[in-house]
Amino acid sequence: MELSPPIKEKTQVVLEEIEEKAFFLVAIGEYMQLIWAVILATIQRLPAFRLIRNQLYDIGVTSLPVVSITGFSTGLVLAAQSFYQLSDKGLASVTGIMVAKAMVTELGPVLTAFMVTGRVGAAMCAELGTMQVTEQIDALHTMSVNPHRYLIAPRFIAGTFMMPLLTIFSIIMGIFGGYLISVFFFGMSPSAYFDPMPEHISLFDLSTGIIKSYIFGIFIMTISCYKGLNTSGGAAGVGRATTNSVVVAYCCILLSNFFITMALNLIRDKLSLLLSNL
Amino acid sequence: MILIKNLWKKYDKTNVMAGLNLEIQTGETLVILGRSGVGKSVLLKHIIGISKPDAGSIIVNDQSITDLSGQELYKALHQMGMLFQGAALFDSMTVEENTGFYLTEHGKNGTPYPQKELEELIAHALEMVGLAGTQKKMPSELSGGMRKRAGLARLIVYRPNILLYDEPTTGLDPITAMHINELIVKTQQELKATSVVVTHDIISALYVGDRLALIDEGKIVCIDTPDNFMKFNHPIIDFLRQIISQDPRSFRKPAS
Repeated sequence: MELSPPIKEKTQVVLEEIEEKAFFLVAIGEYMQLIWAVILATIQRLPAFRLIRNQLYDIGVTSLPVVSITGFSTGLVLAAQSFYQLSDKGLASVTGIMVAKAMVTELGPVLTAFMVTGRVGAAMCAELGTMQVTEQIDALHTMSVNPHRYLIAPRFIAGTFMMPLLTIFSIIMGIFGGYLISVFFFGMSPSAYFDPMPEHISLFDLSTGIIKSYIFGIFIMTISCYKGLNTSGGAAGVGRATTNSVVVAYCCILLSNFFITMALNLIRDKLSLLLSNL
Repeated sequence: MILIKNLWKKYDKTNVMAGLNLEIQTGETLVILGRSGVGKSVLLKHIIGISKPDAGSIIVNDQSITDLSGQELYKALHQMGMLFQGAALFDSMTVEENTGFYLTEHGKNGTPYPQKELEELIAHALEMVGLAGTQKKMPSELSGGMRKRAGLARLIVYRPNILLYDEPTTGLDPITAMHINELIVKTQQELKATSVVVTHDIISALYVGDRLALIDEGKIVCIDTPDNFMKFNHPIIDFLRQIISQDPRSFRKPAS
Protein backbone atom coordinates (compact mmCIF):
# COMPACT_ATOMS: atom_id res chain seq x y z
CA MET A 1 0.00 0.00 0.00
CA GLU A 2 1.41 3.39 -1.02
CA LEU A 3 1.29 5.94 1.81
CA SER A 4 0.25 9.52 1.08
CA PRO A 5 3.16 12.06 1.27
CA PRO A 6 2.28 13.65 4.68
CA ILE A 7 1.93 10.22 6.33
CA LYS A 8 5.13 9.06 4.62
CA GLU A 9 6.98 12.15 5.91
CA LYS A 10 5.60 11.62 9.42
CA THR A 11 6.53 7.93 9.37
CA GLN A 12 10.03 8.90 8.27
CA VAL A 13 10.36 11.36 11.17
CA VAL A 14 9.15 8.76 13.68
CA LEU A 15 11.56 6.17 12.26
CA GLU A 16 14.46 8.63 12.50
CA GLU A 17 13.58 9.39 16.13
CA ILE A 18 13.46 5.68 16.97
CA GLU A 19 16.81 5.24 15.20
CA GLU A 20 18.36 8.06 17.26
CA LYS A 21 17.09 6.70 20.57
CA ALA A 22 17.76 3.06 19.88
CA PHE A 23 21.25 3.59 18.45
CA PHE A 24 22.50 0.54 20.32
CA LEU A 25 19.97 -1.70 18.57
CA VAL A 26 20.81 -0.05 15.26
CA ALA A 27 24.51 -0.85 15.84
CA ILE A 28 23.69 -4.48 16.63
CA GLY A 29 21.56 -4.65 13.49
CA GLU A 30 24.39 -3.22 11.36
CA TYR A 31 26.86 -5.60 13.00
CA MET A 32 24.66 -8.60 12.17
CA GLN A 33 24.24 -7.27 8.63
CA LEU A 34 28.02 -7.11 8.25
CA ILE A 35 28.40 -10.71 9.43
CA TRP A 36 25.70 -11.82 6.98
CA ALA A 37 27.31 -9.87 4.12
CA VAL A 38 30.68 -11.48 4.86
CA ILE A 39 29.16 -14.99 4.99
CA LEU A 40 27.27 -14.34 1.74
CA ALA A 41 30.34 -12.95 -0.05
CA THR A 42 32.41 -15.93 1.12
CA ILE A 43 29.79 -18.47 0.02
CA GLN A 44 29.45 -16.84 -3.41
CA ARG A 45 33.19 -17.01 -3.99
CA LEU A 46 35.99 -17.83 -1.57
CA PRO A 47 38.54 -15.04 -1.07
CA ALA A 48 41.88 -15.54 -2.81
CA PHE A 49 44.16 -17.92 -0.89
CA ARG A 50 47.03 -15.40 -0.82
CA LEU A 51 44.79 -12.97 1.12
CA ILE A 52 43.95 -15.65 3.71
CA ARG A 53 47.61 -16.74 3.90
CA ASN A 54 48.76 -13.15 4.57
CA GLN A 55 46.21 -12.82 7.37
CA LEU A 56 47.12 -16.21 8.83
CA TYR A 57 50.69 -14.94 9.07
CA ASP A 58 49.75 -11.51 10.45
CA ILE A 59 47.29 -12.84 13.01
CA GLY A 60 48.94 -16.14 13.92
CA VAL A 61 52.68 -16.12 13.42
CA THR A 62 53.35 -12.52 14.45
CA SER A 63 51.21 -12.94 17.59
CA LEU A 64 53.21 -15.94 18.82
CA PRO A 65 55.82 -13.97 20.85
CA VAL A 66 53.27 -11.91 22.77
CA VAL A 67 50.99 -14.91 23.34
CA SER A 68 53.97 -16.97 24.55
CA ILE A 69 55.09 -14.31 27.02
CA THR A 70 51.54 -13.91 28.33
CA GLY A 71 50.97 -17.65 28.74
CA PHE A 72 54.41 -18.27 30.20
CA SER A 73 54.28 -15.46 32.78
CA THR A 74 50.72 -16.39 33.78
CA GLY A 75 51.85 -19.99 34.32
CA LEU A 76 54.75 -18.78 36.48
CA VAL A 77 52.52 -16.61 38.66
CA LEU A 78 49.78 -19.23 38.91
CA ALA A 79 52.23 -21.90 40.04
CA ALA A 80 53.90 -19.56 42.54
CA GLN A 81 50.59 -18.42 44.04
CA SER A 82 49.21 -21.95 44.18
CA PHE A 83 52.34 -23.23 45.87
CA TYR A 84 52.50 -20.43 48.45
CA GLN A 85 48.77 -20.60 49.23
CA LEU A 86 48.51 -24.38 49.38
CA SER A 87 51.85 -25.74 50.64
CA ASP A 88 51.21 -24.88 54.31
CA LYS A 89 47.93 -26.83 54.07
CA GLY A 90 49.77 -29.81 52.64
CA LEU A 91 48.27 -29.36 49.19
CA ALA A 92 51.41 -28.42 47.24
CA SER A 93 50.91 -31.47 45.04
CA VAL A 94 47.88 -29.89 43.35
CA THR A 95 49.98 -27.03 41.94
CA GLY A 96 50.21 -28.68 38.52
CA ILE A 97 46.45 -29.30 38.38
CA MET A 98 45.71 -25.73 39.44
CA VAL A 99 47.92 -24.30 36.71
CA ALA A 100 46.67 -26.64 34.00
CA LYS A 101 42.99 -26.34 34.89
CA ALA A 102 43.09 -22.53 35.10
CA MET A 103 45.11 -22.22 31.90
CA VAL A 104 42.99 -24.65 29.90
CA THR A 105 39.52 -23.47 30.90
CA GLU A 106 39.88 -19.77 31.67
CA LEU A 107 43.17 -17.94 31.54
CA GLY A 108 44.50 -19.43 28.32
CA PRO A 109 41.50 -18.47 26.16
CA VAL A 110 40.78 -15.14 27.87
CA LEU A 111 44.35 -13.82 28.02
CA THR A 112 45.10 -14.94 24.47
CA ALA A 113 41.93 -13.20 23.33
CA PHE A 114 43.00 -10.03 25.17
CA MET A 115 46.43 -10.12 23.58
CA VAL A 116 45.03 -10.74 20.09
CA THR A 117 42.50 -7.93 20.58
CA GLY A 118 45.23 -5.49 21.59
CA ARG A 119 47.73 -6.54 18.97
CA VAL A 120 45.70 -7.68 15.98
CA GLY A 121 42.16 -6.32 16.52
CA ALA A 122 43.31 -2.76 17.17
CA ALA A 123 45.66 -2.78 14.16
CA MET A 124 42.93 -4.26 11.99
CA CYS A 125 40.40 -1.63 13.06
CA ALA A 126 42.91 1.21 12.52
CA GLU A 127 43.88 -0.12 9.09
CA LEU A 128 40.29 -0.53 7.90
CA GLY A 129 39.33 2.80 9.50
CA THR A 130 42.13 4.59 7.64
CA MET A 131 41.09 2.87 4.42
CA GLN A 132 37.53 4.02 5.05
CA VAL A 133 38.33 7.69 5.70
CA THR A 134 40.73 7.87 2.76
CA GLU A 135 38.10 6.33 0.45
CA GLN A 136 40.22 3.25 -0.30
CA ILE A 137 37.25 1.00 0.51
CA ASP A 138 35.08 3.02 -1.89
CA ALA A 139 37.85 2.62 -4.48
CA LEU A 140 37.65 -1.17 -4.11
CA HIS A 141 33.91 -0.99 -4.68
CA THR A 142 34.30 1.17 -7.81
CA MET A 143 36.67 -1.45 -9.25
CA SER A 144 33.99 -4.14 -8.78
CA VAL A 145 35.79 -5.71 -5.84
CA ASN A 146 33.55 -6.65 -2.93
CA PRO A 147 35.23 -5.18 0.21
CA HIS A 148 33.54 -7.83 2.34
CA ARG A 149 35.20 -10.61 0.36
CA TYR A 150 38.51 -8.84 -0.21
CA LEU A 151 39.08 -7.29 3.23
CA ILE A 152 36.82 -8.85 5.84
CA ALA A 153 36.43 -12.51 4.87
CA PRO A 154 40.20 -13.31 4.88
CA ARG A 155 40.56 -11.67 8.31
CA PHE A 156 37.53 -13.52 9.63
CA ILE A 157 38.64 -16.92 8.31
CA ALA A 158 42.25 -16.48 9.46
CA GLY A 159 41.26 -15.05 12.85
CA THR A 160 38.79 -17.76 13.77
CA PHE A 161 41.24 -20.44 12.59
CA MET A 162 44.23 -19.01 14.43
CA MET A 163 42.62 -18.18 17.77
CA PRO A 164 42.25 -21.82 18.97
CA LEU A 165 45.82 -22.56 17.84
CA LEU A 166 47.21 -19.51 19.66
CA THR A 167 45.20 -20.47 22.74
CA ILE A 168 46.60 -24.01 22.72
CA PHE A 169 50.08 -22.54 22.38
CA SER A 170 49.45 -20.15 25.27
CA ILE A 171 48.16 -23.03 27.45
CA ILE A 172 51.27 -25.10 26.70
CA MET A 173 53.50 -22.13 27.54
CA GLY A 174 51.58 -21.57 30.78
CA ILE A 175 51.93 -25.20 31.88
CA PHE A 176 55.59 -25.07 30.93
CA GLY A 177 56.10 -21.86 32.97
CA GLY A 178 54.38 -23.48 35.94
CA TYR A 179 56.58 -26.55 35.52
CA LEU A 180 59.80 -24.49 35.53
CA ILE A 181 59.05 -22.64 38.74
CA SER A 182 57.53 -25.65 40.52
CA VAL A 183 60.42 -27.97 39.72
CA PHE A 184 63.43 -25.65 39.72
CA PHE A 185 62.39 -23.17 42.41
CA PHE A 186 60.02 -25.01 44.72
CA GLY A 187 61.73 -28.37 44.29
CA MET A 188 58.70 -30.38 43.19
CA SER A 189 59.44 -33.48 41.16
CA PRO A 190 58.34 -33.36 37.49
CA SER A 191 56.10 -36.36 38.03
CA ALA A 192 54.36 -34.67 40.99
CA TYR A 193 53.64 -31.72 38.70
CA PHE A 194 52.51 -33.62 35.60
CA ASP A 195 51.12 -36.95 36.80
CA PRO A 196 47.81 -35.75 38.33
CA MET A 197 46.95 -33.74 35.19
CA PRO A 198 45.48 -36.48 32.93
CA GLU A 199 43.19 -37.53 35.75
CA HIS A 200 41.85 -34.04 36.45
CA ILE A 201 41.99 -32.32 33.09
CA SER A 202 39.16 -33.83 31.12
CA LEU A 203 38.26 -33.67 27.45
CA PHE A 204 35.44 -31.37 28.55
CA ASP A 205 37.96 -28.87 29.97
CA LEU A 206 39.93 -28.91 26.74
CA SER A 207 36.77 -28.49 24.67
CA THR A 208 35.72 -25.58 26.87
CA GLY A 209 39.00 -23.79 26.16
CA ILE A 210 38.84 -24.43 22.43
CA ILE A 211 35.17 -23.45 22.07
CA LYS A 212 35.78 -20.26 24.02
CA SER A 213 38.79 -19.32 21.93
CA TYR A 214 36.84 -19.91 18.72
CA ILE A 215 33.95 -17.69 19.88
CA PHE A 216 36.38 -15.01 21.13
CA GLY A 217 38.04 -15.11 17.71
CA ILE A 218 34.69 -14.44 16.04
CA PHE A 219 34.06 -11.49 18.39
CA ILE A 220 37.52 -9.95 17.91
CA MET A 221 37.50 -10.16 14.13
CA THR A 222 33.92 -9.03 13.56
CA ILE A 223 33.99 -6.18 16.10
CA SER A 224 37.33 -4.84 14.82
CA CYS A 225 36.15 -5.01 11.21
CA TYR A 226 32.74 -3.52 12.00
CA LYS A 227 34.26 -0.60 13.89
CA GLY A 228 36.88 -0.10 11.18
CA LEU A 229 34.35 -0.06 8.35
CA ASN A 230 32.15 2.41 10.22
CA THR A 231 34.91 4.90 10.93
CA SER A 232 34.30 8.53 10.08
CA GLY A 233 35.92 11.82 11.03
CA GLY A 234 39.53 11.60 9.86
CA ALA A 235 42.49 10.70 12.07
CA ALA A 236 40.58 11.45 15.29
CA GLY A 237 37.81 9.16 14.08
CA VAL A 238 40.28 6.34 13.46
CA GLY A 239 41.60 6.74 17.02
CA ARG A 240 38.09 6.71 18.45
CA ALA A 241 37.06 3.67 16.42
CA THR A 242 40.18 1.76 17.47
CA THR A 243 39.66 2.51 21.17
CA ASN A 244 35.98 1.57 20.87
CA SER A 245 36.74 -1.68 19.10
CA VAL A 246 39.18 -2.75 21.83
CA VAL A 247 36.83 -1.78 24.67
CA VAL A 248 33.80 -3.46 23.08
CA ALA A 249 35.79 -6.60 22.24
CA TYR A 250 37.14 -6.83 25.83
CA CYS A 251 33.60 -6.47 27.24
CA CYS A 252 32.22 -9.09 24.85
CA ILE A 253 35.05 -11.50 25.73
CA LEU A 254 34.52 -11.12 29.48
CA LEU A 255 30.73 -11.31 29.36
CA SER A 256 30.58 -14.15 26.86
CA ASN A 257 33.21 -16.04 28.88
CA PHE A 258 30.78 -16.23 31.80
CA PHE A 259 27.84 -17.29 29.63
CA ILE A 260 29.86 -19.90 27.72
CA THR A 261 31.19 -21.34 31.00
CA MET A 262 27.66 -21.58 32.41
CA ALA A 263 26.15 -22.94 29.22
CA LEU A 264 28.81 -25.62 28.69
CA ASN A 265 28.66 -26.77 32.30
CA LEU A 266 24.86 -26.95 32.23
CA ILE A 267 24.99 -28.93 28.99
CA ARG A 268 27.56 -31.29 30.50
CA ASP A 269 25.41 -31.81 33.63
CA LYS A 270 22.32 -32.50 31.54
CA LEU A 271 24.23 -34.90 29.31
CA SER A 272 25.74 -36.83 32.21
CA LEU A 273 22.28 -37.06 33.80
CA LEU A 274 20.87 -38.39 30.54
CA LEU A 275 23.70 -40.89 30.14
CA SER A 276 23.41 -42.14 33.72
CA ASN A 277 19.67 -42.74 33.19
CA LEU A 278 20.25 -44.81 30.09
CA MET B 1 24.02 7.54 -21.26
CA ILE B 2 23.46 8.37 -17.60
CA LEU B 3 19.95 9.39 -16.63
CA ILE B 4 19.23 10.70 -13.16
CA LYS B 5 15.57 11.05 -12.29
CA ASN B 6 14.11 12.88 -9.30
CA LEU B 7 16.95 12.01 -6.90
CA TRP B 8 16.41 12.62 -3.19
CA LYS B 9 18.94 12.11 -0.41
CA LYS B 10 18.86 13.30 3.17
CA TYR B 11 21.88 13.51 5.50
CA ASP B 12 21.42 14.64 9.10
CA LYS B 13 17.93 15.97 8.41
CA THR B 14 19.16 18.07 5.46
CA ASN B 15 18.11 17.32 1.91
CA VAL B 16 21.41 17.20 0.03
CA MET B 17 19.60 16.03 -3.09
CA ALA B 18 16.12 17.46 -3.54
CA GLY B 19 14.60 16.04 -6.70
CA LEU B 20 17.72 16.28 -8.85
CA ASN B 21 17.29 15.51 -12.57
CA LEU B 22 20.20 15.19 -14.98
CA GLU B 23 20.95 13.60 -18.34
CA ILE B 24 24.53 12.91 -19.37
CA GLN B 25 25.08 11.98 -23.01
CA THR B 26 27.37 9.15 -24.09
CA GLY B 27 30.88 10.38 -24.84
CA GLU B 28 30.47 13.85 -23.42
CA THR B 29 32.36 15.44 -20.51
CA LEU B 30 29.96 17.04 -18.10
CA VAL B 31 31.37 19.25 -15.37
CA ILE B 32 29.35 19.72 -12.22
CA LEU B 33 30.05 22.92 -10.31
CA GLY B 34 28.69 24.08 -7.00
CA ARG B 35 29.63 25.36 -3.56
CA SER B 36 31.12 23.07 -0.92
CA GLY B 37 28.60 20.76 0.72
CA VAL B 38 25.91 20.98 -1.97
CA GLY B 39 26.25 17.28 -2.75
CA LYS B 40 28.47 17.14 -5.83
CA SER B 41 30.58 14.24 -4.51
CA VAL B 42 27.45 12.62 -3.09
CA LEU B 43 26.00 12.62 -6.61
CA LEU B 44 29.07 10.79 -7.95
CA LYS B 45 28.82 8.22 -5.15
CA HIS B 46 25.19 7.64 -6.12
CA ILE B 47 26.08 7.17 -9.79
CA ILE B 48 28.67 4.54 -8.91
CA GLY B 49 26.41 2.79 -6.41
CA ILE B 50 28.37 3.52 -3.21
CA SER B 51 25.39 5.42 -1.79
CA LYS B 52 21.71 4.63 -2.25
CA PRO B 53 19.18 7.45 -2.70
CA ASP B 54 16.13 7.92 -0.49
CA ALA B 55 14.06 8.23 -3.67
CA GLY B 56 14.61 8.50 -7.41
CA SER B 57 16.61 6.47 -9.86
CA ILE B 58 19.89 6.47 -11.77
CA ILE B 59 19.95 4.67 -15.08
CA VAL B 60 23.33 3.93 -16.62
CA ASN B 61 23.23 2.52 -20.15
CA ASP B 62 19.63 1.32 -19.71
CA GLN B 63 20.39 -0.33 -16.37
CA SER B 64 18.98 1.05 -13.13
CA ILE B 65 21.98 1.28 -10.78
CA THR B 66 19.75 2.19 -7.85
CA ASP B 67 17.88 -1.13 -8.12
CA LEU B 68 21.02 -3.26 -8.27
CA SER B 69 22.86 -4.80 -5.35
CA GLY B 70 25.43 -7.49 -4.64
CA GLN B 71 26.88 -9.36 -7.61
CA GLU B 72 24.63 -7.58 -10.12
CA LEU B 73 25.89 -4.18 -9.00
CA TYR B 74 29.54 -5.28 -9.12
CA LYS B 75 28.92 -6.62 -12.63
CA ALA B 76 27.48 -3.28 -13.73
CA LEU B 77 30.40 -1.40 -12.17
CA HIS B 78 32.92 -2.97 -14.55
CA GLN B 79 32.05 -0.26 -17.04
CA MET B 80 32.77 2.57 -14.56
CA GLY B 81 35.79 4.08 -12.88
CA MET B 82 36.25 6.88 -10.39
CA LEU B 83 39.15 9.16 -9.54
CA PHE B 84 38.81 10.14 -5.90
CA GLN B 85 39.65 13.51 -4.40
CA GLY B 86 42.63 12.11 -2.48
CA ALA B 87 43.32 9.54 -5.25
CA ALA B 88 42.47 6.69 -2.78
CA LEU B 89 45.57 4.68 -3.71
CA PHE B 90 45.99 1.54 -1.61
CA ASP B 91 48.83 2.60 0.64
CA SER B 92 50.01 -0.94 1.37
CA MET B 93 50.72 -1.49 -2.35
CA THR B 94 53.29 -0.09 -4.78
CA VAL B 95 52.28 2.16 -7.67
CA GLU B 96 52.57 -0.86 -9.96
CA GLU B 97 50.27 -2.99 -7.78
CA ASN B 98 47.82 -0.11 -7.49
CA THR B 99 47.76 0.48 -11.22
CA GLY B 100 47.31 -3.19 -12.05
CA PHE B 101 44.86 -3.86 -9.23
CA TYR B 102 41.75 -4.22 -11.38
CA LEU B 103 43.47 -6.52 -13.86
CA THR B 104 45.05 -8.64 -11.11
CA GLU B 105 41.74 -9.03 -9.30
CA HIS B 106 39.55 -9.79 -12.31
CA GLY B 107 42.08 -11.54 -14.52
CA LYS B 108 41.64 -12.09 -18.25
CA ASN B 109 38.71 -14.29 -19.35
CA GLY B 110 38.61 -16.04 -15.98
CA THR B 111 42.36 -16.75 -15.81
CA PRO B 112 45.12 -14.71 -14.11
CA TYR B 113 46.50 -11.94 -16.29
CA PRO B 114 49.77 -12.94 -18.02
CA GLN B 115 52.55 -11.22 -16.08
CA LYS B 116 54.33 -9.76 -19.11
CA GLU B 117 51.14 -8.36 -20.61
CA LEU B 118 50.16 -6.95 -17.21
CA GLU B 119 53.50 -5.20 -16.83
CA GLU B 120 53.22 -3.73 -20.33
CA LEU B 121 49.71 -2.39 -19.69
CA ILE B 122 50.81 -0.87 -16.38
CA ALA B 123 53.87 0.70 -17.98
CA HIS B 124 51.73 2.16 -20.79
CA ALA B 125 49.18 3.61 -18.35
CA LEU B 126 51.89 5.12 -16.17
CA GLU B 127 53.67 6.53 -19.19
CA MET B 128 50.43 8.11 -20.37
CA VAL B 129 50.10 10.03 -17.10
CA GLY B 130 53.80 10.92 -16.99
CA LEU B 131 54.76 8.54 -14.20
CA ALA B 132 57.00 6.14 -16.13
CA GLY B 133 59.55 4.44 -13.88
CA THR B 134 57.62 4.93 -10.63
CA GLN B 135 56.35 1.31 -10.56
CA LYS B 136 58.19 0.34 -7.39
CA LYS B 137 57.39 3.50 -5.42
CA MET B 138 54.91 3.46 -2.56
CA PRO B 139 52.02 5.99 -2.57
CA SER B 140 53.56 7.70 0.48
CA GLU B 141 56.58 8.58 -1.65
CA LEU B 142 54.46 10.47 -4.20
CA SER B 143 53.41 14.13 -4.21
CA GLY B 144 49.71 15.10 -4.34
CA GLY B 145 49.78 15.60 -8.11
CA MET B 146 51.62 12.33 -8.68
CA ARG B 147 49.08 10.48 -6.55
CA LYS B 148 46.23 11.90 -8.65
CA ARG B 149 48.04 10.84 -11.82
CA ALA B 150 48.64 7.35 -10.41
CA GLY B 151 44.93 7.21 -9.56
CA LEU B 152 44.16 8.12 -13.15
CA ALA B 153 46.56 5.44 -14.44
CA ARG B 154 44.64 2.91 -12.31
CA LEU B 155 41.52 3.84 -14.30
CA ILE B 156 43.12 4.05 -17.72
CA VAL B 157 44.51 0.54 -17.42
CA TYR B 158 41.07 -1.10 -17.49
CA ARG B 159 39.48 1.35 -19.94
CA PRO B 160 36.05 1.97 -18.37
CA ASN B 161 33.28 3.53 -20.49
CA ILE B 162 32.27 5.94 -17.76
CA LEU B 163 34.78 8.02 -15.80
CA LEU B 164 33.90 9.97 -12.69
CA TYR B 165 36.31 12.57 -11.34
CA ASP B 166 35.87 13.94 -7.82
CA GLU B 167 37.65 17.30 -7.50
CA PRO B 168 40.60 16.26 -9.69
CA THR B 169 42.51 19.54 -9.33
CA THR B 170 41.75 20.45 -5.71
CA GLY B 171 44.84 21.10 -3.61
CA LEU B 172 47.21 21.20 -6.57
CA ASP B 173 49.39 24.05 -7.80
CA PRO B 174 48.13 25.72 -11.02
CA ILE B 175 50.72 24.03 -13.25
CA THR B 176 50.00 20.53 -11.91
CA ALA B 177 46.26 21.30 -12.03
CA MET B 178 46.56 22.18 -15.73
CA HIS B 179 48.51 18.96 -16.31
CA ILE B 180 45.65 17.00 -14.73
CA ASN B 181 43.15 18.88 -16.91
CA GLU B 182 45.15 17.93 -20.00
CA LEU B 183 45.20 14.32 -18.83
CA ILE B 184 41.41 14.30 -18.35
CA VAL B 185 40.96 15.52 -21.93
CA LYS B 186 43.58 13.08 -23.25
CA THR B 187 41.99 10.15 -21.37
CA GLN B 188 38.54 11.09 -22.62
CA GLN B 189 39.82 11.23 -26.20
CA GLU B 190 41.67 7.91 -25.92
CA LEU B 191 38.92 5.95 -24.17
CA LYS B 192 35.98 7.75 -25.82
CA ALA B 193 34.40 7.59 -22.40
CA THR B 194 31.54 9.48 -20.83
CA SER B 195 33.09 11.67 -18.14
CA VAL B 196 31.57 13.43 -15.16
CA VAL B 197 33.85 15.90 -13.42
CA VAL B 198 32.96 17.46 -10.09
CA THR B 199 34.98 20.55 -9.30
CA HIS B 200 35.13 24.02 -7.73
CA ASP B 201 37.76 25.05 -10.22
CA ILE B 202 36.13 27.14 -12.97
CA ILE B 203 39.29 27.16 -15.11
CA SER B 204 39.40 23.37 -15.00
CA ALA B 205 35.66 23.24 -15.75
CA LEU B 206 35.97 25.47 -18.81
CA TYR B 207 39.01 23.52 -20.03
CA VAL B 208 37.63 19.99 -19.83
CA GLY B 209 33.85 20.37 -20.04
CA ASP B 210 31.63 19.88 -23.07
CA ARG B 211 28.78 21.02 -20.84
CA LEU B 212 28.75 22.64 -17.42
CA ALA B 213 26.08 22.16 -14.74
CA LEU B 214 25.53 24.03 -11.51
CA ILE B 215 24.09 22.35 -8.40
CA ASP B 216 22.36 24.49 -5.82
CA GLU B 217 19.94 23.49 -3.08
CA GLY B 218 19.94 19.86 -4.19
CA LYS B 219 18.99 20.53 -7.81
CA ILE B 220 20.64 21.32 -11.12
CA VAL B 221 19.89 25.01 -11.58
CA CYS B 222 21.53 25.47 -14.97
CA ILE B 223 23.24 23.25 -17.51
CA ASP B 224 24.67 24.25 -20.89
CA THR B 225 27.79 24.51 -23.04
CA PRO B 226 30.63 26.50 -21.40
CA ASP B 227 29.88 29.67 -23.40
CA ASN B 228 26.16 29.64 -22.68
CA PHE B 229 26.68 28.53 -19.07
CA MET B 230 28.78 31.59 -18.34
CA LYS B 231 25.96 33.83 -19.63
CA PHE B 232 23.42 32.45 -17.12
CA ASN B 233 21.99 34.84 -14.59
CA HIS B 234 22.72 33.25 -11.21
CA PRO B 235 24.66 34.69 -8.24
CA ILE B 236 27.25 31.89 -8.30
CA ILE B 237 27.81 32.20 -12.05
CA ASP B 238 27.98 36.01 -11.70
CA PHE B 239 30.75 35.47 -9.15
CA LEU B 240 32.58 32.97 -11.39
CA ARG B 241 32.35 35.42 -14.30
CA GLN B 242 33.77 38.14 -12.11
CA ILE B 243 36.69 35.94 -11.03
CA ILE B 244 37.79 34.90 -14.49
CA SER B 245 37.40 38.36 -16.00
CA GLN B 246 39.20 40.21 -13.23
CA ASP B 247 42.78 41.42 -13.35
CA PRO B 248 44.76 39.15 -10.96
CA ARG B 249 46.37 42.27 -9.48
CA SER B 250 42.98 43.25 -8.10
CA PHE B 251 43.05 40.20 -5.78
CA ARG B 252 44.71 42.09 -2.98
CA LYS B 253 43.65 42.49 0.62
CA PRO B 254 41.92 45.82 1.25
CA ALA B 255 44.30 48.60 2.29
CA SER B 256 44.10 49.25 6.02
